[in-house]
Amino acid sequence: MEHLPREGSLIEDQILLSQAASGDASAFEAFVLCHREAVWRFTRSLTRDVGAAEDALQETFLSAWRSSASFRGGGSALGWLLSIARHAVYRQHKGRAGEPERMESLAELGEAAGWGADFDPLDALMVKDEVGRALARLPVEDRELLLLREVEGLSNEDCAGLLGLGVRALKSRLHRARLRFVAQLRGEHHGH
Amino acid sequence: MAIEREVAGLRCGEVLAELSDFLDGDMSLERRAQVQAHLDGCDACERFGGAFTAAIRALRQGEPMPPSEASIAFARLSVRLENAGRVGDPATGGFMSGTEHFDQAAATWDLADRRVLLAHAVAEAISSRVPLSKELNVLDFGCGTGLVTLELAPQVGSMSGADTSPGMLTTLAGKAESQGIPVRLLPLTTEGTGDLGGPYDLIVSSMTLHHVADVPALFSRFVQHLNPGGQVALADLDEEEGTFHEDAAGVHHQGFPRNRIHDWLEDAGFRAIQVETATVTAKEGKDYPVFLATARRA
Ligand SMILES: C[S@@+](CC[C@H](N)C(=O)[O-])C[C@H]1O[C@@H](n2cnc3c(N)ncnc32)[C@H](O)[C@@H]1O
Repeated sequence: MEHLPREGSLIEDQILLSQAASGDASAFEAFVLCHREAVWRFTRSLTRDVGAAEDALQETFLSAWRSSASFRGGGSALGWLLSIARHAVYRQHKGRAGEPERMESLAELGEAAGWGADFDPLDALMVKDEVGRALARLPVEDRELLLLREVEGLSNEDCAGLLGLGVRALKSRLHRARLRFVAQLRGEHHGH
Repeated sequence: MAIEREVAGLRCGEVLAELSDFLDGDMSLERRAQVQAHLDGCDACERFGGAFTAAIRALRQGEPMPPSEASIAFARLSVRLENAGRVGDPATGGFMSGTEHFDQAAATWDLADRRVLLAHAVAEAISSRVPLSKELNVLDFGCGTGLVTLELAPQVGSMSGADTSPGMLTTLAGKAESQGIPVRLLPLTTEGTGDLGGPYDLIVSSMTLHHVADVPALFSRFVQHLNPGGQVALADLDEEEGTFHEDAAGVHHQGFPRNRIHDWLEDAGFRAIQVETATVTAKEGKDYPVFLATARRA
């Protein structure tokens, strides 16, 4: 199953959030039930630490409840939530250095990912948990982008808005992140 | 090794740069055909493109999070939201506006936490083992304050809760009303007799069997209140040393060996019996496994 946003959920989310904004706790509860898995998946993979992920999960929904009136539609409610979640995670790591994006050439990135090699990185996909492990080894910037775009299925536009990037810059970062991910999968398989 | 051939008017490097757009369908049809022609004519790029696509698809499938971690996280989230909800509504800015209520909540936190976690884990185990649907009439036997009842109710057609304690049922009635979840309440006598209603498609019970003296008789009673093919999903402690309850009053069993539950269900006329671990609850540093027995009425 791919975690793509469900049909019709946009309208439903908007209704639930506007009810929540007028104090309807059960509407908010329904909203929480719809999205808690996605927020959990995201905070859990982003932080790599259960306790920190739980704090961020709680903070996300508390903050979403407080600011439910400020959700105006426009983007997806999931995108809005994940953007809150992302801030919640980073708040815990105050003064996060923010690794500068490494600017290897595309050819270098490609080669690390097996471009031009006889090796077929597909083999790695057969092994349980390799995807998760490869993801976990990526720098946090790559990881969050892949989580938002691939795992949660947000659009390029939503991702760009959330990360404060233009769509072009986003696509270029996404491509690099994907190549680094394939390189990690390949590294896994070769016993690092 | 970098590959720099030119096939179909494109260099390998250009194809590498555009693989993501190709995968996302984010290019003109013309360009797409050109990239496809290169892939068709260049083994190395075709192989790499295939691997790249497969890897990104695998990422999209996602790997499931450990379910035990998630259910604990969700239960704590519910507790925290529920505690926050008591403070007020967002219109008045009451919801979690200070640390004040945390201090208030802290006194009952652990207690609430453990019970809520356990009930939540049981509810999750039930919904993962029994397909729930809006067609089902369900009874929660020994429903207590409805921790399991109210979590399952929205996923089924109708929900009834039976319990011997009027106090528990009153609390449940209040919660059900404030959450807008209809639950039919069935008060039982102190001996546990009284009409269970039904017939049901599913009878669930959590942490109640050990309070019932004659469990085989209860299972036979369940059969009478189930539709043909109806199911039970019953959770309780594995056999323990009597350390779980500080106060042994009303405790008839110190948990149950799983094979005994199995045999009692079989004797009562149940089939497709499975007894598996639903969760593990910890109390004063000791772990107590909780089983979930599922079975189907013939
Ligand atoms: C430990 S509580 C569990 C409550 C709820 N199922 C939960 O998981 O939170 C046990 C419940 O069983 C009820 N009970 C005790 N003896 C019973 C009996 N013989 N028949 C039905 N319910 C009984 C108690 O009143 C209490 O609400």
